[in-house]
Amino acid sequence: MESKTAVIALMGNPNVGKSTLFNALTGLRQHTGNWPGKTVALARGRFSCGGRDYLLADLPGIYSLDARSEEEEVASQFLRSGLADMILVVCDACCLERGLHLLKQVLELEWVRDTGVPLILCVNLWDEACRRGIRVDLELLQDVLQIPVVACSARSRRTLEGVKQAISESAGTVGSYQCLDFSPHRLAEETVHMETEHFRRLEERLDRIVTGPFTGSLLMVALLLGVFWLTMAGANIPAQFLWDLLFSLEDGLAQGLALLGAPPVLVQLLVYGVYRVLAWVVAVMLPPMAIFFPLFTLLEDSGYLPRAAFNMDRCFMRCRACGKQCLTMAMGLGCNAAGVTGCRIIDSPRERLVAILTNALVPCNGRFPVLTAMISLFFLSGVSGGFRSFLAALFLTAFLLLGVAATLCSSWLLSRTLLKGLPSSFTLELPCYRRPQVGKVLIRSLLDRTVFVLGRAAASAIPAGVLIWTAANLHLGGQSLLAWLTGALDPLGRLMGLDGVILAAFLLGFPANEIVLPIILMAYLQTGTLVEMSDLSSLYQLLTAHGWTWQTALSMMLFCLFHWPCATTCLTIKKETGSLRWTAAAIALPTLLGFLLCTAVHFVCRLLF
Amino acid sequence: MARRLDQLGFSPGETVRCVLKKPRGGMSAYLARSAVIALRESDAAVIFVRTDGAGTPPPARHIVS
Repeated sequence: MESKTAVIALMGNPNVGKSTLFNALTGLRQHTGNWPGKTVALARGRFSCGGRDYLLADLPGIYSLDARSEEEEVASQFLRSGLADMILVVCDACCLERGLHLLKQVLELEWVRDTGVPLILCVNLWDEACRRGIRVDLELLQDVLQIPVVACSARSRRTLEGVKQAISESAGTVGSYQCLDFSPHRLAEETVHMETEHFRRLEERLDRIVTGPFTGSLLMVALLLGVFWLTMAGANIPAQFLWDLLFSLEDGLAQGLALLGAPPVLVQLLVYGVYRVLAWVVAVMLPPMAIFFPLFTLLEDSGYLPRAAFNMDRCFMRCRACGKQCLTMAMGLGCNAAGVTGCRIIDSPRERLVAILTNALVPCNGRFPVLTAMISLFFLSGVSGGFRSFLAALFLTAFLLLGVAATLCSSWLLSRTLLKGLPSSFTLELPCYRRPQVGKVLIRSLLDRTVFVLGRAAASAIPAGVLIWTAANLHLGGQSLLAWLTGALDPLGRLMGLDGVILAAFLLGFPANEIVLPIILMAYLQTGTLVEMSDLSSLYQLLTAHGWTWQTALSMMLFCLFHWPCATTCLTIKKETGSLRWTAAAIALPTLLGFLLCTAVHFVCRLLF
Repeated sequence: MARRLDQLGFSPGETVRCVLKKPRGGMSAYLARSAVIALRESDAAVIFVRTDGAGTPPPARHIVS
């Protein structure tokens, strides 16, 4: 014990801030959010205090050790395995009683009683409890429980010292829990004092508005629209600035490479193939993502999402799906792979499968920029000023709602065909509203999400650029390989209102959706069209030169919204379902939907225009 | 499900209070052990409660079974 790293299990009810505490202690960046079930898998991280190293395991939040649901299974298995050298039970100062119920179960575990593993009770969200006029008598708590009890507010680093001190003090000690018995209900009654009787008054008023029959839906749409409007309005200026900056470097880079003695072919490939597309990706994708994700994380932090699920539940019930699917869809908005993993919060296997299969119908952050780019290039010509970004936001909201509608329809269909069954019961916890940590959110979502997506895009754009360039310059039977490929896909593409290049790009974009548009551009540039890349509108010229109209853009957006999930998501689906058949279904469902929708739109457009 | 409800504080002798109700068969939310838990109508229907006569709006409820 003295020499090896001590393992500390971090456990507690859902949404009491275990991951926030985990991050604060280890300095890692686990995703946190104000809703139960944000952490579904086990995360671990190291930290040291008092001259010792510790390995902290962040367990998913549980209500009990019964091992009824997947999270409970993970957490209780970890505890029963006897790996932990210390257990840190985290509970919410505002709902102490629930935490005490769990603590009692832990104390009753045979393994805990036999080994006397040190236990620490950590009363988290202390600052919030104080603000609401809730006082917890820690001394009394400690007297009754006979284990160290510390108060902390994981969000502020000041209170962490107490936790660290308690950890180093109880490391290596042996507790005796044989004769410990208490009633969680009575203990909570005795130790918790409310200064005001109506500590939930403000919250209840807010909830009435947020979940009201009329105001609820209005607020939901208004929030979506607002977030998109800020994204579209704010993204224009930095996009133009980045564009100017990156393209002013292009010639210098080409000259520099030539000076270094690189052969002209290589310079061509690197600068006009790879660099140009990378610059495009950065200039067009970075600004909207850098605005959208912090805004969305703020919403997630505030505790709004479970309320949205509460509002939407009736729709999901009609479709015989679980209301928590709304939460997994919101996660899919960030990344479909994360959304699929997040489906573990749904207990019923049938409803979980429905949620997994339909998750890709929500546009992830890799596909968002495609939608925003198409909207601003093709649907807003002639509109200017503040109204322009509002209209763009309206379009985006409409597309997202289309994704939601498609999710509901496919859930309905699946529940009546492949995954027959009735809706099962579930409980949804509505957490307290919390003021989001604005500064932290900004930095985290910029660093984690934006840079991650951009990095993935850049990493797959380089090999894709080389591949496209080679395919365009390798000739076979008088035609380049690229022309062979796009020619073969062209009839199918035309049927859907697209063309062969776009379909080929979607196929090649399987590793990462972010690179679909760059591949299209690379392929078009390789066909010898010379376009002056002076500003953002030159993209429009490049696309129209290859026969794009607003109908192509519309079909492109539809297919972008509804096509096979990316490789990472497919692998995650395979892992989560453990079946190739369901993975195939998850690929086929959105693809079929996209194909049918695009074809239908194309034919309607041909009839009308 | 009964077990899950029991863990959340919908158990004999405990007090719960309805804090939010959606019309037409939507979910409703209850304050149990000072946390807000939303339940579907069909799930809430299987919980036996006795209303508290004191009647502070919305009425407090006791679970008897």
